[in-house]
Amino acid sequence: MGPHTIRGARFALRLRPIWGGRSPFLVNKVFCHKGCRMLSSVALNLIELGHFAAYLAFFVAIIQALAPLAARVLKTPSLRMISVNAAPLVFLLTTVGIVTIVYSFLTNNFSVLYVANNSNTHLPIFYKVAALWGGHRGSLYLWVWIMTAYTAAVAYHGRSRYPERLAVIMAVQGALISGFFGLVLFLSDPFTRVFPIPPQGQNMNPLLQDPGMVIHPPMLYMGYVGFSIPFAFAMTALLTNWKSELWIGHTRRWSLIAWGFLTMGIVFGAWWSYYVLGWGGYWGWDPVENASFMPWLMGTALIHSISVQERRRMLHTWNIFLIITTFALSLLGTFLVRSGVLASVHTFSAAPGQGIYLLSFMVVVLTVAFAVFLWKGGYQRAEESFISPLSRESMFIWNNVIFTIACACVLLGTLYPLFLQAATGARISVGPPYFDLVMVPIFLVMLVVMAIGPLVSWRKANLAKLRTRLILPVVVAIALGIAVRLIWGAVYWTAPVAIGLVTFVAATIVANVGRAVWARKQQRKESFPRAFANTFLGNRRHYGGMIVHVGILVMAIGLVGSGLFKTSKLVMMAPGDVLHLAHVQVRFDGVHPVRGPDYNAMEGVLTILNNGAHLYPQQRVFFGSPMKVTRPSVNSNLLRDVYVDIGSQHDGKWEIHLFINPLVNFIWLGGGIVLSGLAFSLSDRLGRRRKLAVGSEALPSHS
Amino acid sequence: MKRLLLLGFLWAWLIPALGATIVHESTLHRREIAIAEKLRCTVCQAESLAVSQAGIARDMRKLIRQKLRAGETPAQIKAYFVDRYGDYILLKPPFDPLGAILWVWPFALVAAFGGVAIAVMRRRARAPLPPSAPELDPEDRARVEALTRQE
Repeated sequence: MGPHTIRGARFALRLRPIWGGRSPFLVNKVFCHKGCRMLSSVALNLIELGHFAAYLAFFVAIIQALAPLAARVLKTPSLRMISVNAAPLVFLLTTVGIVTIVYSFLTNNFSVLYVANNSNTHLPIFYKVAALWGGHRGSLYLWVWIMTAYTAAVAYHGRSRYPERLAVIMAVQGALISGFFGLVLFLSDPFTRVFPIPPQGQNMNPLLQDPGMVIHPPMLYMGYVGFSIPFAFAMTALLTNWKSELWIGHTRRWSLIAWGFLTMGIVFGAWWSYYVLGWGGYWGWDPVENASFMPWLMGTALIHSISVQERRRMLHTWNIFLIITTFALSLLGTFLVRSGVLASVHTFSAAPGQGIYLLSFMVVVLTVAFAVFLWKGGYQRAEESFISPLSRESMFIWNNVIFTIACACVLLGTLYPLFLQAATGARISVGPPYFDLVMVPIFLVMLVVMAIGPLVSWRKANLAKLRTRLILPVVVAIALGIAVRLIWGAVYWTAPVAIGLVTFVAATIVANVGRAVWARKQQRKESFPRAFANTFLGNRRHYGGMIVHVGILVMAIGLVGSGLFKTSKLVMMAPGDVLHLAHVQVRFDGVHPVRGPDYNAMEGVLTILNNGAHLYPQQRVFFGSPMKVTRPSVNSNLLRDVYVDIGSQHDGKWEIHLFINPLVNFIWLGGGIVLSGLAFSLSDRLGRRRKLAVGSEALPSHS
Repeated sequence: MKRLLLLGFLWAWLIPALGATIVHESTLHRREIAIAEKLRCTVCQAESLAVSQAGIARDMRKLIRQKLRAGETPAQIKAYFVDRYGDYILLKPPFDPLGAILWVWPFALVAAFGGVAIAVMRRRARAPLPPSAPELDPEDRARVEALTRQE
């Protein structure tokens, strides 16, 4: 601020011809009349408005957190409304902050330290916006902004549905928001200015310059942050003795939304890892990947177990425990990624000093949450008893047991090396071979429960009926398992078992749907497609869930195929050489230089002789970065990916790394099916409301 | 007909099997990768020797290849690296006093959670319901009733 920054801008202007580009704030009187110069300094310093708005948002969030408490202490219930009204205001103010940061990126305002560190004039506009979350400070700000957006959405959603508890929900959210705002504003302020103004910024991390990476962090954060809403509901339920029936349905929907975003975030992360990092894989059991996987596992347990509370009025305390744990793991994920305690390929933006703050914040949140849980948990209790160990609710309990075990295994494998090193100084590694060995059996058991669970009825299942329903799927599954064993040979025991189990689940789903459609067709004399559509539309929640299951199965096929049957070869090739691998022949045609918007690259050209397709892997050198970045090239069809990296050159030969990865597209396809199933399931409420509206219109005429 | 359609659909799962053509040959490269996948790249953040593009990982892979050519077994090669770098280089921690908990843990979890789940289901099946839940506020009751009527 002040005269020195403007002097800095003139300084920058002198360098302008060197790097070209036209940025509004660098306009000087040479090019422009007097009024325009005023505008330029306003544009240059607009970031301060955002900074101010962020501080204001911080204070309003504190008020939002304290208002219901003040209302109670001062015995003035009307004060509670401040909390509710504060939520949209905090959102608005935080948005002003984010808009000014993005504006600073778009206008190359390098007087902002964060912009100078994460962007330069050559960066394409698309990535200039995405650079907001390309570094540590901006991504934490995005975290907070998403949280304020969720909070405002809940304030809107709850104004007529649960107005009497809304103030407390908002207060919990306000406390979390102000906690994070404290971190953002006092320890990692994205609004910090720098003087003298650097003429050019450093670049955004080259590895992050990819569409997958543009989508991945916001999705992941929307998942992480989304779990704060069930957390706020659970805290409110505990604090105000909120009746289970009145809050569990809303919590279920918010949990599903958060789960969907988290799933999407993880899948996009895998996608990015696969198409950008160039190691031929998508999931490496890296600590940061695990950090996002743990809340996903607990969130998955939660969205299943919450149905039990809704339908059978039990597992109340367990659900609250799950909600708190899921949110705690989301915080842990943020902490692990943002504090730099982990050695990971993903720690692009570590900042050790803030680790202490995040850790203390996490400890405070969890201590308070569990204290409230222990103090008031007794009021949230089961209201029905358990009838049979063979029932839908028991299957959900087994689901929860398995997912909790899975999560605890990932947790120990991720954190144990850290603890060990801190406690004894001994260093050990826990990597993919360990996780594969431990997790694969757990996943296989999950598939078994996934097959049987939806067939078992609530309360008490009829064993004879269940047996007849299971016979055909079991037979088909075993037959297919044997077939797979014969086709693939005895290489891995997991392949036939996994495919057999996947078939088992698929068969039970198909049989289940088939029976329902058939029954409807017979009863109502509907045509087959009509009966099919009506069956699905009539119970969107259930069939949405089944679609999600199918998506998981498709993913599982992709995981088995690409995990077990990938092959690779690393060779030196001269132009004209042909490489054979797994029935694929690839010819290396040579290399040529390529220039991108902010990098120079050496691009290899390869031809797949089987189908004539070309591959163009690159070795990029970004401006202002000594790092060489490989960018793989992939030719894929549904059955296999041909994946190529190009490395360094020796004696006229180039290092070519060829991977044949079977079935990888099944993973992305499965992810898409999961999300569409989730959307279908969530559309339930809308459909029912429309029906209700029709029903209430029809009502008077009956009476 | 219905059965046939069902069977046809299920066997369609086999189509992916065509994609997973397996290479049975056990080339030197495959054996090298199989070993490199189990060892950590010591200068990288969290990558195995098999996927790392660092220079040292390349050299270590070359060393593995040379040792394989010289006829050493995978166990000998791993032992060689453990001698030089310690257990840190093993991505699968060994079952020794330091790493044992990692291997005991999953079984302990299965026993603990499985036991608790069975115990809870048993107890809940027998126990009478707690009458403890506090009464609804009149307004809440009205809303529950309104909602149940709508259902």
